[in-house]
Amino acid sequence: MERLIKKGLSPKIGHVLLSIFQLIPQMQATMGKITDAQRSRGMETEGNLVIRMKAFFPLIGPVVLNSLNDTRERAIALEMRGFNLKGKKTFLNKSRTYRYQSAMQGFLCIVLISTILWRIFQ
Amino acid sequence: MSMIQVEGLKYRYPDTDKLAIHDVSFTIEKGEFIGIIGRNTAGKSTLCYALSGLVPHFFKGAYGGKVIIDGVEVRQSDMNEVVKKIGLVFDNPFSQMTGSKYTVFDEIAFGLENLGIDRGEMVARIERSLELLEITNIREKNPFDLSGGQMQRVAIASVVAMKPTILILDEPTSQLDPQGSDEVFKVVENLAKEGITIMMAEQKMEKLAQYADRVLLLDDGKLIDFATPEKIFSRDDLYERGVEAPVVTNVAKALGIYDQKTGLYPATLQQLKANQLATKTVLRKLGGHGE
Repeated sequence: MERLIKKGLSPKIGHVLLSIFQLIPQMQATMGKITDAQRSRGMETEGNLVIRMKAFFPLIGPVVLNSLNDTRERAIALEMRGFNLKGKKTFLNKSRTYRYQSAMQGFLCIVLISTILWRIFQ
Repeated sequence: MSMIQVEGLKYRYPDTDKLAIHDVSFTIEKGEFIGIIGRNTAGKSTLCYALSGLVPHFFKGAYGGKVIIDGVEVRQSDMNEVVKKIGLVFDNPFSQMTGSKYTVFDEIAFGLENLGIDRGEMVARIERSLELLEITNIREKNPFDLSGGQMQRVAIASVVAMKPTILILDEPTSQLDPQGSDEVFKVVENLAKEGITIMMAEQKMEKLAQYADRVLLLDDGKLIDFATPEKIFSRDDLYERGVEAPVVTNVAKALGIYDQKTGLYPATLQQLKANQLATKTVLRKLGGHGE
């Protein structure tokens, strides 16, 4: 991802794509905690589809509000760490060039194009 | 020139009727460690946001007065300039992690990358921050795999690496155990010794009494008092203002132990020991041996 940002991808899009992989499991953990809290207050969360649907809706409110609050705080933290600063960014990790990098990239491009064409014309 | 100068600051959040900060004025010198205390909703966090430029740049709303940091008015300068001078740490360590970095080392680098610091200096600053916060041993760990205390130290390290002249901490120990809190206070005290001006909103009065040079008491968005910890904690109206004085002060008040010269009650054990004569006299009256 860092390499894509270096090549011109917006750092904001890069950040969103990278953070999704870590934040979704965190959200799932929060959801688990809220489910446990609801269960401890007598709500049935297991059973047939109707019971699970009934348990799902009261869960959504706290999860969404909690996520919104976290997002707001994270936005403040990012702001204070210069995420929106204009000017040239630098990178901690150097880009490495590997021996068969260009060949691999070319090969993967051909595979990608072939897959798309195969999907369209099969 | 003072490091922080606040003149008649007023602020109201959007879609609210009440002022969160009401006509607050004070000045702070370089290298001071200032504690901010008050009940919930006293305006501590809002003041922290105003000092860090988030009010009015991030939080819109009605704003009046001036916040001048190192000679520059925050409202007139953009966030680009503000983040180079001021670091902000808040209570929830989890939401201060960027989410896009997979090691502590990379997490600390995030702010430096945004500042455009060159790689050599970046690595040196990260190493220094890791040492300062004593988290060198977790440098390769994923920030989300850490305990609350460790995560909070990573958050502080990330801010410290950016070399702010002012560090603002909004209840940074509220989610930490006693040991974690102690570690954070010691680190912050060391930063103050290095010349960084510290403003810390906090509910742990014992700690503030021990570490802060001066304490700022807020209530209902107004500045009630701004003085040394002994003077603030000797006030009679603290409880009505939602603040519990340190245990030492409460005991000293109950026993009538105070500094004969200033008339103030001790705020720390050290100060209580300094009043040995008064302590011994009181204990003798109570039937003890005064030792």
